[in-house]
Amino acid sequence: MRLMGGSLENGSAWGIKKCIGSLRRFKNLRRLEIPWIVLFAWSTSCDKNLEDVLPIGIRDLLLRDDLDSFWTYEWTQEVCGLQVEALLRQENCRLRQLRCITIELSEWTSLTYWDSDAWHWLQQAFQQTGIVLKFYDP
Amino acid sequence: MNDGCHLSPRKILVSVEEDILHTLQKLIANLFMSRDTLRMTSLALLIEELLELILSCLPRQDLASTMRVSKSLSQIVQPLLFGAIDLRLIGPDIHPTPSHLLCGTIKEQADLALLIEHLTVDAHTTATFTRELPIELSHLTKLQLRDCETGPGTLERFLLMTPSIEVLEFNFPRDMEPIDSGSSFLDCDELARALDFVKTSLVHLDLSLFFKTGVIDEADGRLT
Repeated sequence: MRLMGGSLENGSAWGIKKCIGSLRRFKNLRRLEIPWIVLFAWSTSCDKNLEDVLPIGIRDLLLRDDLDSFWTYEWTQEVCGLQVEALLRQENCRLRQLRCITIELSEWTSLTYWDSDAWHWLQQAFQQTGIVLKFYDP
Repeated sequence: MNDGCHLSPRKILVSVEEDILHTLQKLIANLFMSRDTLRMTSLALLIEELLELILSCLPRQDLASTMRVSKSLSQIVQPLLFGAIDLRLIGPDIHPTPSHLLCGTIKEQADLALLIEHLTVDAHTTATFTRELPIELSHLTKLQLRDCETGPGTLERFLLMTPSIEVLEFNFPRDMEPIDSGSSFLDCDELARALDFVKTSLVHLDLSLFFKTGVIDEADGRLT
């Protein structure tokens, strides 16, 4: 089994195994705060997108960049941006209740800073669909 | 209580913590055995006064310790002020921990535990709580687990006791090794299995790989 993660200062390893999988069965879930790597696994090679894993009634979503300080962290701003953008491209998106997406962008993530114009474009595009796209720096 | 110039501030602080926890143990036991509102109010006021007295004795230069003790004690007292509907187990790392004290009294009065609606559990207390209190908390709607020793296994045992959970916050700090899974890796399969017990009731789910210390804001649901 593939274990993904990194090493701490004391030499011990830490990480996550697999991903939480689809949350579609959580019929009443309205608000979700979750790290990217828990939702989709450590590797970004997962072929699922947000619509595949989120419950249909979700209104407020916060995607965290926990463990982004590990050197092997793969969820760069560009990867996250493309994942979010996929929602816009989805025809007949099931997530009709979705009102707000918040993306955590910490100082570590910003080392791989994606084009700010791209984020701005995404914000504008989501605004036209009635969804607020926000960024959060803890 | 403070007889001394021979005691270091730290020793005075520990002594104060132990003293007040023992006092609280007795008072809480009395409170849970009493259904009398007036008596509950009197006890709550008495504990508040006791807290003020203790805090006034703490060395003022040690602001961090004072804040820590104040926070711990006020959070122990809080359920008393709200009739044990909002229970926060945030304990100093000494024995007996507040969760030992509270679990002991609640277990003796299991019907009162059913009234608890909001529960916050912090370091060193979750395992004790699940071990000491194997009863269903049917009214519990909000659960915040912030325990460095809690893995998905303990979470699963907890959620078995709490079938009506609507708001769940689960912190799994990356720099702590959970004792119940024997692994320092978070197994997301185990996590998904644990959450399955509340899949129909859950409205707000907050998962984090870091410690959180704030409270969930009722208005917008964010941690503040």
